[in-house]
Order: sequence, then C-alpha cells, then structure tokens
Amino acid sequence: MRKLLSVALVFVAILGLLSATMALGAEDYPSKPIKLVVTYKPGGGNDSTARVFSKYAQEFLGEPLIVTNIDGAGGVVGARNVLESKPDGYTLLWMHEALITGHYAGMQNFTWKDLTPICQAASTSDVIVVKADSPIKSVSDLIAMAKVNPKKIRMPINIGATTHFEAAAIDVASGGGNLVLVSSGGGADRIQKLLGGFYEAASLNLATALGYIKDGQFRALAVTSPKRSPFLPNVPTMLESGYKVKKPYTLNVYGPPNLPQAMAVKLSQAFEKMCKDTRVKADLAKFASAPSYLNTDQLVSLLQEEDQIFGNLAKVAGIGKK
Amino acid sequence: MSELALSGIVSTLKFFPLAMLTLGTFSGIVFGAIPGMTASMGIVLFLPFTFKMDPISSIALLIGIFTGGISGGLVSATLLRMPGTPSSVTTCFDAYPMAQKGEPGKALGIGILSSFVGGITTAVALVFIAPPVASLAIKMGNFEYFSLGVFALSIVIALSKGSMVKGLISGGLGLLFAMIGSAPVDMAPRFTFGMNSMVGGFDLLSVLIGLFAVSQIISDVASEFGVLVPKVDTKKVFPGFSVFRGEKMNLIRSTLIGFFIGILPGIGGATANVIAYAEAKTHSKTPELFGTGIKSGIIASESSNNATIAGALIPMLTMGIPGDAVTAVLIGGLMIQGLQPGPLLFKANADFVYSVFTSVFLANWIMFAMMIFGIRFFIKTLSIRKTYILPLIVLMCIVGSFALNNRMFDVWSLFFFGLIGYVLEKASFPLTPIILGFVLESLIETNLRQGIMSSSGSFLPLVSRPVSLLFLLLAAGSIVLPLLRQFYGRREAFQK
Repeated sequence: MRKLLSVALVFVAILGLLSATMALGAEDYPSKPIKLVVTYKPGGGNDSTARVFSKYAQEFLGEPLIVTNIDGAGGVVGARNVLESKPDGYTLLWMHEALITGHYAGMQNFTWKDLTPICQAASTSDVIVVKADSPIKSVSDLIAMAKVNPKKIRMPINIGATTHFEAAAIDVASGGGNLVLVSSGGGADRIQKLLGGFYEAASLNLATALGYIKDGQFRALAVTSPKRSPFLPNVPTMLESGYKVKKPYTLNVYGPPNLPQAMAVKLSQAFEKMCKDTRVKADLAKFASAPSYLNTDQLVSLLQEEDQIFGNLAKVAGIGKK
Repeated sequence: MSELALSGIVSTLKFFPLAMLTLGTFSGIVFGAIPGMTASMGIVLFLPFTFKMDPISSIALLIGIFTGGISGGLVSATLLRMPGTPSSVTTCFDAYPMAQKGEPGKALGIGILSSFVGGITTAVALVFIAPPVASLAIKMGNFEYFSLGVFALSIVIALSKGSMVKGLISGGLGLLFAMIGSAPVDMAPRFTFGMNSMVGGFDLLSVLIGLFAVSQIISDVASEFGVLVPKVDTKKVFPGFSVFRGEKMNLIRSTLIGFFIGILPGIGGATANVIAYAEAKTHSKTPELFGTGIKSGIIASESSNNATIAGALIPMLTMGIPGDAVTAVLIGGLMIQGLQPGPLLFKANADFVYSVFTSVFLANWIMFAMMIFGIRFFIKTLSIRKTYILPLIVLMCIVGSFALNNRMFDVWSLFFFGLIGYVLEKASFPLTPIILGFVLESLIETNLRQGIMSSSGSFLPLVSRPVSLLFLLLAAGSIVLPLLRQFYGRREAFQK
C-alpha cells in the first residue's frame, strides 16, 4: 500500500512538473537556442545575412539563433525540413522569394501559405549588368538589341528560381522568345562567365556585383527592386525604365505550420528591435543589404502581391509547364 | 616589392596573428585527421570567433585551418586506410600498405614532406602569378569544363587494378549514385522513389567515408589482431629530403596538377589527388608497383592536394569566385570583416592580400613542424586496442556526416555506403572509380546541358573550341594508350 502511494506521489510530481514546463513553453519562450534554417550552403548572400542577425540575436531574444545550413534541390530540401518540423518555435526558416517561384515552377508542392510567415528582416536587390565594353548602355538598349538580334543575347538563369522569373520578365517585355536563357550556377559562376564573354548580360545579386560595378568592369543597367538601391543611387529601377519588372529580394522569417501566435509575435518584435539597431544596419551594409522590418500582416500582404505577380508571369512565360 | 606589400607581410608577423595561425593550423590538422571531419567544417565552426578579430588575424586563423585540414587527412589515410578528407583518397593506396609493412613513420614522413613541398612552392607562385592566371581561368566555359570532366573520368582506366571491367563497373556505379536526387539545370527529381528525403541526393562526404571508413571498420572488426598494426618502428620517422631522389618529375607534375585543378572553380582537391596519382602511375617505369606501398604514390597524392590550396585562393582573391567549398565560406568570412573579395581587393586592400600570402606561406611551415613532431604520437594510435579506437571513429563519422547538412538522411546513407563498400571490396572491385564517377557526374552533366543551352543546341563548340578539343584528345589518349601498352606487352610476352 505504502509502495503504491509513493508511486502515485511520484506520478503527481511528474505531472506537476510537466504542466509547469508546458506553461513555460508559451510564456518563457524562448528558453533554449533557436535553429534558423538557411536553405543553401554556407557562404552565400542568404547565409551571410542570416549570420548577421544570428550575431546579435542573444541580446534581443534572450537566446541565440543558430544558423543551420540544409542545402539541396535549390532550397527545397531545407524549406521542407522546416515545413515538417514541430511548431515549438525552435525551428525557423530564413528564405527569399524562391519560396514562391519554386512553387510556380513546379519544383515544390508547397508554398509560403503552408508555413507560418513571421516577419521580414532584410532586403537587397538584383542588378542587371553588362560588361563595361558592351555597346548596351541601358535596359532599353538591351531590349532593342534582343528584338533586332533574336536568339543572340544570352542571359544566365537558375531554372525555377527568381533569376528565371526575372529574365523571363525581360524577355516578355522584349516581345517574348528573343533572349537565350542559359542555366547557370550561382552568382560567382555568372560573374566568371560574364567576364569570360559567355553571356551578354546577367542579373546578379547586388552584394556580389557591387565590387565589379565600382571597379568599372561591369555596367549596371537597372535594379529589379521596386525602389532604387541606396548602394547604387544613380542606377534606375526597371519600373522607372518603363518595364513592368518588379522583383524584390527580401529575406523573411517563417515558422512551421501552426506556430502559436504568441511565439510569432515575440520573434517578430525581436527582429523589429534588431532592424533598428545601428550595428545590424552596418553589418548588413557589408552585404549590400539593409534592414527592412515588416510585421506579420505587412509581410502577408506583400507575399500575396508577389504571389500574384509571379503566378501571372509563370503563365505568360510558360514556366513550369512540362 | 612595394611598401604596401611589406606592410602586409609585417602586419602578419605580430604575436596575435601568428598565435591565431598556429591555433588554426593545429585545429585544422585535428579536423583533417579525423575521418568525417573536413577543413570546411572546421572553418564554419571557427567563423563566429573571427567576427570580433581584426581582418588579418581572422584570415590567419582560417588559412591555418584550411592548410592544416588538407594536410591532416594523410594521417588517417596512412594509419587506418580511411581518408580524413576527400583530398586524400589516393594517399591510402600506398601509404597504408607501407604502414602495414611496419613503416608507418616513413609513410607519414613522406606524406608530410610532399604536402609541404606542394604547399610552399604554390604559395610562392601565388604571389607572382595570381592575376594573370585568374584572367586565363575565366576563359574556361561550359564546353571546356565538360571536356575536362570527361578527361578526368577517363582516368578510371588507369586506376583499375587488374580487371578493367571491374574498374568500369565501379566508375559507372559512381555516376549512377550521383544521379540520384534533383537533376542539375531543371531540378527534376530522379530515382527518388517518391521519397522527399531523397530529393537532396547523396553527399560526397557520406559516400566517401561510407565507402572507405565504414567498410574498413567492418573488415577491421572481422580481422583477428587486437591492435591495428602489431609491430611498429617508432625510431626512424623523418625520412629527409633524399626521398625525392628520382621523384622530381612526379613531384613537379603532381604539384602543377593540384595547382591547376585548384584554380578552376568548382573542382577541388577530391579530383586533384586522383588525377595526380593516376598520372604518376601512367608515367612511372614501374606502374605495377603502385598500390603496394611505394613512395611515388604518396608523393603524387599529397603534393597535389596541398597545391590546390594556393590554387583555390587565386580566383577567390582576384575575382571573388570560390574555387571550392572552403573558399566559399572564406569569402563570407572576409565580407563580414568589410572586405570584398574580387577585383577591388587588390586595389583597395593590397596590404591585406599580401598578408594572406604570408599566412599561406607560414601556415605550411607551421603545419610541417607540427606534423613532423606529431608523427610519433600519430603512430601510437596504431597500438591502441581496436575495441577502443574503432567505436570512436564510427562516432566521428556519424557526427561528421550529420554536421555536414544537418540531416539524418546523410547518416543513413553513410551506413548504406559502408555496406556497399564492404561488399565491393570483398568482390575485389576498386572503390576509387566510384568516388571519381560520383564527383565528376554533376560536373560533366551540368556543363554539357548548360553549354548546349547557350549554343542553342549545337554540339560543335566541343571540338571547335581549342581547349575543349585538347581535353577530349587527352581523354582519348588515356583510354587508348593503356590498351596499346597491354596489347604490345602481351605480344612481347608471347614472343619470349
């Protein structure tokens, strides 16, 4: 009898402890390091910007953000890893627009709506460049050239990724079917082949292209973001140049499906504070990026808008049709 | 030499940068020596520590890890027949048999000396030829890379000991394993059997340590001795430079191969050591002795893999283009310091570039001193009972393959390849062609498909571009020559 009683007591104690820790889950979140999944290998633009926030997270969040690289299939493997994680707030995703384009290109059977959007943290831009000795001086030149010499202007893309949609948008603007879209590796590969004369023009992430633009080896024709980049104030946007090409490059934080709202709010607030910090701004600038905080509602409406743009473009350009 | 160059060199010769360089080299050797841990893993782990340092000390730390990591791989390759890194696959072939014959100290000594020579000569070359060489490298397009890949693959023939058919089957298996997962270019899933975890494909490190380390552990467990090598000579460990007598051509050729492969973005030490080994064997007067524990094999493998370091730094420093996985992480590390690797680096931060050169140069000396000093400790591991050392290695392999991409899938594939390696080894299939096929498949396929996209469907550039044609001819040569040699060899034997 006494034995039974002691067993029962232990049970009650365990139950009490369990309920206490469960209560901790919501209120004292976060109570351990958080995994921030970057869906590419270490070293690229996505990874580097994530590491800037990871550097300061402890101060603003109380717990460190650990950048965890899960590479594969153009970002799909890492994103799926978060999609299939427990919504306990300790696994988050760091991702740009590829989450939308990959869906329309038919590379992944899930999209941003299946995850829990938390906030936007940073943004940068892509820039359309040509070699400095190229006769092409502006986006209008590029498109005129493509019309006069169909199938002569080669531009690198990653099929299904944002660069594909960007080049397709330029191609559609030139009447369609005039550009030769060539599959390529990442930004470094594109720079190398543009310098080597294997492409006539290329879209590059600002961080990788900036050194070449300043050095005078590349000429910047336009940026693809909706607004001019603070790092290239004299270069027009595609929209300004009169072409309906709007491709923001934003780095957003997502959680697994059904992440409790209280946790999302806490995370979002911490990112808001980090985005206001001057050290974060200075560190992001090294990667030609800037803090650009958006709360959950603002992010969702931006994503809906982008979703529509990319969806329409996929139809017009025939992307994702097998 | 300009003032900037001098100030760059002097700024590295201070206490803190030198301490970091030493720490980095030491940690690199440890990472390299443990099967499953690689130089790039070490660099990713140490990266956060560099955020608060000055740029010169942080690059000194990272260059130290890079150099140490590539060099350390020879220790486990020699003692355990497990390549510590993908760069030391062929080191196993001759260093391990030599160690088994009771001369592990000599095998390590030759490997360390070759690493040192390969590393130090290319570090000097880096200073003088970085910019002109970089501008040549960018003239290489998709078709050139494709043909280079085909040439490298043709080396399977030279690597096949005994049965050429078995070598070709192994190479084919490697190609097949690499095709599993998302296809390059259009990301179409292949051979995934509907499983989401297969979409990412197999990782080189899991395949490598599965085939070489796990399979070796299985057969070590099955063998009788309680220790790995029963009797070890711990006295005569330093061989001296006289080992290079008669090996000058081999040393120069292997170093050049490593340097050249290192410069080409996307191809790293994993390919370089195999090509250098195969070339050494082809040009040797006694090719039949390769694989039995001769010094030529160790020299070829180890001088070439250390030469890739300086090679890989060239496109990184001059163009901001990573030559391999390690330099990709290094670029991120430099950017956090506010330095933009690329054309501006030489103009805006020339002193920094010279401090990088100095670090590479010094890291080789530190590596050399540490490893020569460490030989007697390394070979002690051979007399530890297998029941202690093997479980520890299995553990390291598991941690290493998980840490690589943070997925359990890579750990399961590690064991899968361990079993495959064990079975193939028992059936006397060579394992290196699998690695070569696995590494080269995506290089060959991606570049051919991209090249044809850019030529709007024409295959003509394969032969109309001279460099591409050259590699294709070399490939044809490396297939036909051994056949001819075999044919004439047989005829001579017949006439006798």
